[in-house]
Amino acid sequence: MSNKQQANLLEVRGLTVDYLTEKAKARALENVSFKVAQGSILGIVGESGCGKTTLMLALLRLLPQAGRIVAGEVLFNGRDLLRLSENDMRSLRWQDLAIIFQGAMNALNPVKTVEDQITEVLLRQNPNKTSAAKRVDELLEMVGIGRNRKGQYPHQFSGGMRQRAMIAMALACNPKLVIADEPTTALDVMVQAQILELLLQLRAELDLTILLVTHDLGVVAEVCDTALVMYGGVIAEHAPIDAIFNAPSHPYTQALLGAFPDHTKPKTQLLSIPGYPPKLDALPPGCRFAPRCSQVIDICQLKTPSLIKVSDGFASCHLLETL
Amino acid sequence: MTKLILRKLGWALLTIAFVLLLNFFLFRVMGDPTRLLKDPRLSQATIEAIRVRFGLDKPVINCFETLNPIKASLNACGVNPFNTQFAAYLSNLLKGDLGVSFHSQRPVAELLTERLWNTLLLIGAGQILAIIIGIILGLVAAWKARTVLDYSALVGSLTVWSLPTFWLGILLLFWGSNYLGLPLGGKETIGSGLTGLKRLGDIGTHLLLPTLTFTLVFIGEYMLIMRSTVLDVLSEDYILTAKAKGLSTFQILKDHALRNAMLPIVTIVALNLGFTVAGAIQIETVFSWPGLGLTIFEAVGRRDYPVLQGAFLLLAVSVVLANVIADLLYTFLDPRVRLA
Ligand SMILES: Nc1ncnc2c1ncn2[C@@H]1O[C@H](COP(=O)(O)OP(=O)(O)OP(=O)(O)O)[C@@H](O)[C@H]1O
Ligand SMILES: [Mg+2]
Repeated sequence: MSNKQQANLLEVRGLTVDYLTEKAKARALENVSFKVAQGSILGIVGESGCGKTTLMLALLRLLPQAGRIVAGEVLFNGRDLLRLSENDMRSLRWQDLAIIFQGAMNALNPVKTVEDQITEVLLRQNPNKTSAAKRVDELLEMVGIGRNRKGQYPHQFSGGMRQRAMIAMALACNPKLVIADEPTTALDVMVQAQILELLLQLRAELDLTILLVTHDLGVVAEVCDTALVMYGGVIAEHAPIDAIFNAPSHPYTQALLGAFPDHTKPKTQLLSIPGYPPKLDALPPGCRFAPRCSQVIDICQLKTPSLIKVSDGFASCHLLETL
Repeated sequence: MTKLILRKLGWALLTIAFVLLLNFFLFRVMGDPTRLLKDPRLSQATIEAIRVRFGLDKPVINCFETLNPIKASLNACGVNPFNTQFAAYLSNLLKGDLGVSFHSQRPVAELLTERLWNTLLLIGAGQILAIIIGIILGLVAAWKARTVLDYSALVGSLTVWSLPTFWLGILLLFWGSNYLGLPLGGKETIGSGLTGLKRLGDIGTHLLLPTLTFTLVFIGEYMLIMRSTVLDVLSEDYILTAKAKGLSTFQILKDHALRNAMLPIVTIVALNLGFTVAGAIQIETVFSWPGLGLTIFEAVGRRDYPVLQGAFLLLAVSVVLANVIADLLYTFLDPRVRLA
């Protein structure tokens, strides 16, 4: 990593997103900043509703109608995606940034064949039908789907096959960045292992950069280089895997690890985190984790902690400031 | 697939068989139509002659014992089952003979075929226009949901949808003939002696207002249904995928939303065929368009049973057939049904 500027494929600065609902404005992301190095896999973890999907959609500018990006920059290869015209953004989608959606069950169109749905993106790049057909075979082979099944419809595929078809589709145009939002959540362990294996292998072959959203810390430990721990729309901690698992800085990361079964140490007591994540339209003043934090101090209730540099990464906690 | 088509056709045939039965008995429960010949100049002998001429002297069926599956014996009451009105009805049907009109003395089949084409022209033009415009309006309204465009399309659709057909027809007739000089009715200018393209143009100007009425009556419903379906479809995950794939708005609507949203429209169009017929009766009457609708309207006034019976049969069979077509189209559009 000689040139740091080059090495970061993606850099997010101060990204803030609101959801405007009829009654209130919910701040789904607040001041989210992180960097992703070219060729690395970033794991994004956090409880349900903490804003993982929102973050991924905001990067692609695909938020639902109610979602608004209020502030921030998304630098991709040094270009701010949030400043691009809709047309320029559109031409980047799938060519450079592809996404595998949470629950690919419904992410494929039920009335179009799998082949058609992959071909569609290939033809945007190159209108030659023969080369597109060849590429479809290649892609399906890469993810382990027989080419005799390419003319079938999504409902004829199993869940795992659909997920793999989705991955094949994501890779169709050789994107630089692949966002995978819980690509394995609905699948059994065997299929999950296969798909993660596939992602790792593809990363090695194609030098992909991957953002992997998951609930499963085991998955993070297995495949990711760095991890982003989110809590209630903010970043709690962002650090390399080693630091996250061996020396977590943020109390929330610590609690999350405590709530996760560790197979190497049999029969340890699982510690759930008492309480619930904050309501986004009624955020507590100060640190969002304070009401559930076991190490809470006075200042936590008053002031929002900012993301500060700790040994190997970043964390947002007042305890670390006072050190 | 073939099995599916055969099954649908089987059901259609069964339905038509029921229609045949119903159609026959419906017109017998009203009794002998010669009762209505009240003209004092008609002698009893003439009336009897008329009854013989139209086969009304024969028994309706040999007797109800025949219909009893337990005692089923054709000769249950000593009347030759082949010398009944029902037997004559069936054998004539097979020969394509629908009887003779009481009023014009012309063969009903000939009369109806002539008028059927006029109705098909009117219904066809009106439905196709309503479907195309309704679908496009619905699609655009859904894409631009909650904008001025959407609200205007919505209000317009609700308005035309709630207007009574005949009232809208009369209004358009008044307005079109008064301000645009369009013809008052009929299919073409009688005695104009026009031929070829000129005659087609003449028919076109006569067709304009009734088609417009037809289109307006149905456009609202198609637009509303299309709008709500497309709104549903647009919130589906695969639409988000399509956006993420960088497809343009037009491509997303055309390649991903339209086909999925077409499914309910096909069903509605098929279900609507019954109402289409009702609409045709009103519109053809208002515009004196010589189609099946006007024929039915006139035949009711004249107690012209053979014509009514023939027209009902024709309509029922076409509605059944159209439903079969819609079913098959649905199957073609939705692979989940086709490959199930
Ligand atoms: N369309 C929307 N309108 C209003 N609020 C929304 C909308 N979508 C998401 N939210 C809110 O934003 C917050 C973040 O949601 P998001 O889907 O990003 O969570 P997540 O971390 O992906 O959760 P999960 O792990 O369950 O997928 C939630 O509190 C959710 O209620
Ligand atoms: Mg999510």
